[in-house]
Parts: sequence; structure tokens; C-alpha cells
Amino acid sequence: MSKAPQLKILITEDNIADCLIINKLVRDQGYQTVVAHNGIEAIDLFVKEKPDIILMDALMPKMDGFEAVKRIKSLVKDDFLPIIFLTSLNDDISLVSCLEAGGDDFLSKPYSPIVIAAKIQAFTRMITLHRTVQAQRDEITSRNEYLLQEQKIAKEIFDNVAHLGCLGASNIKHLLSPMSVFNGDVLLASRKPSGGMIVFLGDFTGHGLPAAVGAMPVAEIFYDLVVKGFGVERILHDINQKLHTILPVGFFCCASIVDINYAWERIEIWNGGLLDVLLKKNDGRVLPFKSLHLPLGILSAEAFNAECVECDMKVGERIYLFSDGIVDLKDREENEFALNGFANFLLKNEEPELIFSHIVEQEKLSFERNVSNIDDVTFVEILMISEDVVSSKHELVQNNELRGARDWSMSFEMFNQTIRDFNPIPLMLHITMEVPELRVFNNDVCMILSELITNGIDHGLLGLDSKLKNSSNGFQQYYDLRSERLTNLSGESLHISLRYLPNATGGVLVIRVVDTGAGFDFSQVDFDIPKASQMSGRGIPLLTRLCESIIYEGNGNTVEAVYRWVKLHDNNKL
Amino acid sequence: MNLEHLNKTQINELALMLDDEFPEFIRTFISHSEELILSLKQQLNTNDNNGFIISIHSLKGSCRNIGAELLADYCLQIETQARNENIASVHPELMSICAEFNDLKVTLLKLARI
Repeated sequence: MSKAPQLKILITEDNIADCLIINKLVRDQGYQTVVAHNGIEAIDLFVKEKPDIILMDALMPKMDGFEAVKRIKSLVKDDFLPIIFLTSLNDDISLVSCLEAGGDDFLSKPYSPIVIAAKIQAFTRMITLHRTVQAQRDEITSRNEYLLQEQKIAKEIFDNVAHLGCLGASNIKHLLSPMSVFNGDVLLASRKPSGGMIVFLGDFTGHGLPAAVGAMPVAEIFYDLVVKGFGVERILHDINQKLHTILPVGFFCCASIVDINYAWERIEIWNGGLLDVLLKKNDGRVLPFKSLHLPLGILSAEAFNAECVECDMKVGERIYLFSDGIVDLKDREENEFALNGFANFLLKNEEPELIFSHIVEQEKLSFERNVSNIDDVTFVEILMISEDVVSSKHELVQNNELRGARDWSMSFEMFNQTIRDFNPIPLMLHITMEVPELRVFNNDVCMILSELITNGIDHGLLGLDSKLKNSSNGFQQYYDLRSERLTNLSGESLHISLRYLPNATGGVLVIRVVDTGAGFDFSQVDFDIPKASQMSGRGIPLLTRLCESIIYEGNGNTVEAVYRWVKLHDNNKL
Repeated sequence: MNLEHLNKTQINELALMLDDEFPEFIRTFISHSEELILSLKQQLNTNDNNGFIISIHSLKGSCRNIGAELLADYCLQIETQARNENIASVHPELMSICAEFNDLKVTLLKLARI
């Protein structure tokens, strides 16, 4: 529309002669007019004709202009309806009443065609502007509603993919504060088939949709690999590679990951770009785990380093992972944490069980204080608990599939390089998981497999003495020695075979591991459950608890474990 | 009455603008004003203060529009008086309005060649 739309003007004037003049003047300007002679007529005509502008005499019989305007204004809601009072300049007292009634302007008698034209044109421009703004506002509103609706659905999908896993466990406390529908942070946790737990905290550059889209494959890879029994290094490698491929330049994910081993009371930590992961020890010390790596998604697979730091973490000790929003929070004395504040707060703290609630409180406060200018705060506290407390029945989806692999055997032989670089457990688990009924016992199977394979490599092939692990220092020595001997490995192999036989009440899984090492005197093996403090040698008593039988053959380099499972609805396992 | 009581520029502008509707306009003005003056007399008799103010205000407005300045001034005087005091006191002034209006009527009829 290049021409202004023809506006309709309602003229309300009780004096017929005056009405004639103003009507003529307005029509001559090219406007359509409707005429009323008192306030009641004006309201009727307003409802019927929906005029764009109203010219209103103040003093009229029946109902005066002030009353009529008040009533009309109550009918228009948020539309812009200019009202010009027709009045005499002398009526100074009335001018205030005109404004109070909702008048926008005045026209005084005698009428001047030029003044009338100017005023109506000015209001016409305002009406056009107002309507444009209104139309744009309505469009923005409806677009916004549409977007929010879309985001809501996307959020539902997102939450299903990046679910919180086992964050509900009693020893984990977490705080996730969403900035918008989507948070730039991602927090994932999953129990390992072998019984431990892996927690991942990622902070994507930016917020909202782009961050959420990046978080989805991270969550998928994480949950997929943890359940299959892959270790932290492989998980990090896969996530890094995926993000490296999909994220645009300049986008990445700062992350830390903690692998918690309840049985050994040890943790493995990798930190790439996040603030220090902090471990509050029982003796009051606070150990920081600095970021030693670039964030995920930056380096190519060849350059990426997933090497973790290992550390003891005794029962009762707490480890903290958080995104950088924490620097805006405050301590008890109302000082901002800034960069090192939280570590100092932890150090001074003598009631570790209250740390988490303090953070939650602070987060709530700062959100109330400054809604617009706050970064995401994601905060996790993990408490080391005794293995017995950790529920052994983890929440694996048990679907009663009719199809599946129920009678099979497999064998897999690894040589030097593969022994060095490849973790065969996920591969084995992948196959045992194909037996639908066996899935709930995945935990047991994984433990048996890892014990037997680790024993085969560490003791059988590398000749390491597990007594080394009895002391904390020994751990480091053990692992140094292990990696040195692995590097120099030559001419060795490890043969793993699995055989699965179903029977009427359940099934039997036979696991056989044969190494090419020198063997050992298996009559010396201590099959008793060791004291809690004694870490080494724990593997075998654990196996005897899980398996029907463990038999060493030959010169000790062949071991066969028989795992028998009974259908769950028979109500007793083993 | 002479043309001094009527603003010549203003009435000419009106005549120009209304063109052939001008005589009709003059007739409307005269008949409506006569009605208003009749109302004023009745309202005075029945002591209808509010009605009186509305009528005199309306007459004042159309007189301003037509350029009958003296008559408009009389009206203003009476309106102010009526707003501030009792309308019983405006009796003499109302008589001068009637006289002035009769003069104006003759002049307008001539002007409009009716």
C-alpha cells in the first residue's frame, strides 16, 4: 500500500451548523466521515463504524464528550484511537477535563482548515506507525511462541538423549542451572558394567541450541561406551573425534571426566579446559586437578591425549566438578569466589556435608540478584562410599527379547600390539550382551572378564607382582613398570575363549584365558576374601564368589571360569 | 446591523469553502440558532441551569465559527455568568443577544442572497 488507507473519522457535534462546517472540512481532506450529535450516538456509531479518529465536542446534551470518550476508551483496549476535542480556546478549565477523559488534542473554534488538515494528518501517521508496530509485535509474539514450542519439544528429545544417567545415586549431589531452555553445560553419569561409575561434565562455548546440539552426540557416545564397558580414554577419544568433526571452528567443549572405582577407592581424572577439579581429602587437604589438556573438539585424533591422572580417594572423601559459573558465586562472608575462592572455601570448610547446600543457596541468590547476567553453574559433588553400599543391580534396560544368541562359542587371540593398545572387554561384553537373559548379569560377566584378562596380561605376560599395589606409592611403581613392560612386549599372545550353553534353568558361560607367559604356582593362590585394606590379590577371591568354579591348568597360564546364571524369576541367582 | 459585527474574512472563507452549500449552511445556522435561543428562554423559565449552559455554549461555538464575534462575546459573558452565578441574573443580557442575533440574521441572509 503506497497510499495511506482511507481513514474513517467520527464527528460528534451537537451544533448542526458547526457540524456542517467541520464535516465539510474533513471530507474535503479526503476522509470518510460519520456524524453523531451527542455522546450516546457517538458510542453507538463507534461500535458500528469502528472509526480511526474521533472528533468530539465537549459540551453536548444527553451525554457530554468527556463521558462518551471515557466509555469509548474502555472499549478500545490496546488499539490506538486518537481523540481530538472540539472546543473554544476560552474553555481553559475544560482542557484539563478533556485530557483526563482521554483526549489527545484540541481543535478550537473558529475552525481553520489548515490546522484541521495538519492535525488529522499527524494522527494518521501515528496510526500507521502504531499499526505497523502492533503487527510486528504480533508477528514477533507468534514467532516467539512457535520457537518456544519448538524448543520445548527439542528439550524433551535432548533430555532423553542427554539424560542424567545415574546422577540420582545417593553419593552424588548435583546442581544444573539452565540459562534458557537449553543449558550450555552437559552433565552425564553412568555406572560401569564392572561396578564403578563415570561422571562427565562438559561446558560448551556458548549457550542454547548450538550447545545443546553439540551435547547430544557427546551424551550418546558416553552412555553407549560406558555401558559397553569401554574405559575413560576410549570415551574421551571418541567424543573428541566426534566434536572435532561436527563443531565449527572456534566452538569446543571444556570438559572433565572422573572414573570412580569404589572397590579400589581410586579415581582417574581427565580435565580439558575446565576449572580445577577439587578433591577434599579426609585430612582436610584440597587436591586440585588442573586442566592438562585442550578442550574436546579442538585437536585431531592423532594429536589428542586422553591420558588421565590417577589418585586415591578414600571413603568419605569428596570430589567436586563445576563449570566456570561458580566464580560468580560467593562464600559465607559474601566475597565472590572468583578463580581460587572455591578452593579456599573448601580448604577452610570443616563441615563438608554442608558444602553442596551452600552452593545451591548461593546459586539461587545470585540468580535472583542478577537474572540477566549470570553464567551457567553446573556443580557436582561425588562422595566416595564403600563398595558394599553401591547397589550392584544397576539399571540396565532389560527387554525380554525372544531373539538373541543362546548357543555359541568364540575365541579371540591378541598379539603384542593389540595387547598394548586394545581393550578387548567391550568386544567380549558386546557378544555376551547378545544373550538377552544374561544382560542383567552383565556386571558380573564384566568383572570376571576384566579380572581374568588383567591377570593374564599383568601377571601372566608382564610378570608384575600384585603385592606392589599394597601401598599407595606402589601403585605408581606398578603402573610405571606395567607400561614399560607393555612397550617391550614381544612374541607373546593372550587367547580368550567364551562358550555359552543354555540349560533349563538358565545358562552357563565358560571363560577361558590362556597366556604365553611363564605361568605361576597356582597352589599358592589365596582364595579367601582379603581384609579391606589389602588391595592386591583381591581379584581372585572376588571371582570365586561370582563363579561356580575357577580352575587353573597347566603351569598356571591357563584359567577357566564357569559362570552359571539362573533365570531371575526363579528368584535365586546361583 | 453593519458588517463590523461580522468578521468579513472569516465569513468569506466559509462561503468559499462551502461554495454552493453556503446558503444551506446559513439557513441551518439561523434555524439552529433560533432553536437554541428559544431553548435558552425556556431553560431560563424552568431554571434549568445545566441545559442553559449547554445551549449558550453551543450558540457561542457556532457564532465563533461563522465570525459573529460580538454575538460570541455576549454568549461567553452569559456562559461565564451562568456558570458562576444563578441564571436568573442573565435576563437583561439575553435580551441583547436576541437583538444582536436579529441584526446578524438580516446581514447573513443578504450575504447568502437568500
